[in-house]
Amino acid sequence: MLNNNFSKLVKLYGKYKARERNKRILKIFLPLFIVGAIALTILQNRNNTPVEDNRTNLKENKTQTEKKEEPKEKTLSHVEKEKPQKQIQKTEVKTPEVQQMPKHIIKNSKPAAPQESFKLKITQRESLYNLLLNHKNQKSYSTAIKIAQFYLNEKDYEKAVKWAVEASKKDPSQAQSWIIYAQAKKAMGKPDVAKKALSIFLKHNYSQQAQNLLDSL
Amino acid sequence: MNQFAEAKELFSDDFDLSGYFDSLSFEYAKKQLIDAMQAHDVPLIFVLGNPGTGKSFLLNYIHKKVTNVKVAKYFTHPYFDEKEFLETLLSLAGRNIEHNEYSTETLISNLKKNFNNLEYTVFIDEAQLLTEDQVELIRILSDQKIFQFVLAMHKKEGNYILQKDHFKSRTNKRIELDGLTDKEIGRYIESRLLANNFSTIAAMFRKSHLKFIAKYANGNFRTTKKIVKTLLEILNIANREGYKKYSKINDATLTMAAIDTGLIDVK
Repeated sequence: MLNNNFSKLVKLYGKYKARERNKRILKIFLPLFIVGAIALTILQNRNNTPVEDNRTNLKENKTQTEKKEEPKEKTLSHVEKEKPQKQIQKTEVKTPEVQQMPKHIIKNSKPAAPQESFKLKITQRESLYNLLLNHKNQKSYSTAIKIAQFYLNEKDYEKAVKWAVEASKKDPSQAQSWIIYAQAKKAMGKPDVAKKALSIFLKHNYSQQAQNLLDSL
Repeated sequence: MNQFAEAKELFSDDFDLSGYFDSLSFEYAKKQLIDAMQAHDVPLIFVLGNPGTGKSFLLNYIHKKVTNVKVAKYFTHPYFDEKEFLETLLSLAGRNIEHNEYSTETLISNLKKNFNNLEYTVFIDEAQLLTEDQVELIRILSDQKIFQFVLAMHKKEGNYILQKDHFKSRTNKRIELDGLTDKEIGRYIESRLLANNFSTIAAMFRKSHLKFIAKYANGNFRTTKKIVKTLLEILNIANREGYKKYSKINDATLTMAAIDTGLIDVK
């Protein structure tokens, strides 16, 4: 005697067969799906990595077009908008003098200085990369202000201004973004813009550091 | 009744001694047990094996077929009453004893007078079910060399019982019964069918079919018989009712047999 009747057993067998078929299909397609998913994420990552700056430019443009919808609170982007148009200045670039190769190359004389600067550049790039990566993940005031500070230290004032604006968009009440902005503008030879920015900030907020900077300008 | 209905009876789960199969493990265990029984020097013998490996069949076979050993009594299940157990053993000496006629001590001393030097052997199957008191009684009887005991039990529980103080320090012998190999399973099915004039059915089994059965039986003698019996029952019904698709041994009928015996879970 069977435990199940025959017709029920046939049904159970059909069910089992279907289950096995599904398992087999899953066995074939699951690795393909995983490989596909991995390939897709790799491709996406490749597309995402190039030049962070372009991204921020795009975002900046976006926020500028959406400015009508923004709150009335003033940020550095307002100040940026009001700045006079750039004038193209022609400057002469001297071609460096060509030096003759030394006749005798002394062995074991390694130039120490260039190697150090090379190392320095690498570490700087690394830290900038980390900062940009952090900002990409967090998109906060603190990450943006760090990048602004980095560029200010590097004396890349254009970018320092850009990131100070970015930071002030996140939190316009923080003094540091306005200070970096003013410092960068001052360094770019535009103390008037720096003054204007600081006075706008000090109208609504209080910061001794910003006040001192304004006084010094 | 078609031939499948007749053939399936060969694979019923009983101790039919005509179904004797000379697997390597079984033959080795049988030889060890007979030697130990003939030597009369080990008071306790443990036959250990997983369920369905043929422990009961081995005891039954020796009890009924082997003539040069002295089996006093074969208890297929552990007794439940100590006195009843002792009275049964004492009655083997030819005395009519009424229940509760003697105290336990008197029964033991009477047994001692009639049996000694481990001359007779008592088989107890499913000995993993013995209580502590029963185990203690067996220890007393074996220590006083009244009887030699063969305790057949499941391997897992047996190993646990052997660790107990009752047996740990005492002389005993362990005989382990292993399962069938894949080849032995195939050989068993074929030889069983051929020996009973079912050569047509035996010829229906291909290597792949035997492999399938061996895979699900996992060396278990009882499970092998169960699968084959169910398979033959399916073939019997299919042939009788005219289900052509299921009238031969194939993947479908084998899988159905495994489903029906609960080896494949579909629900």
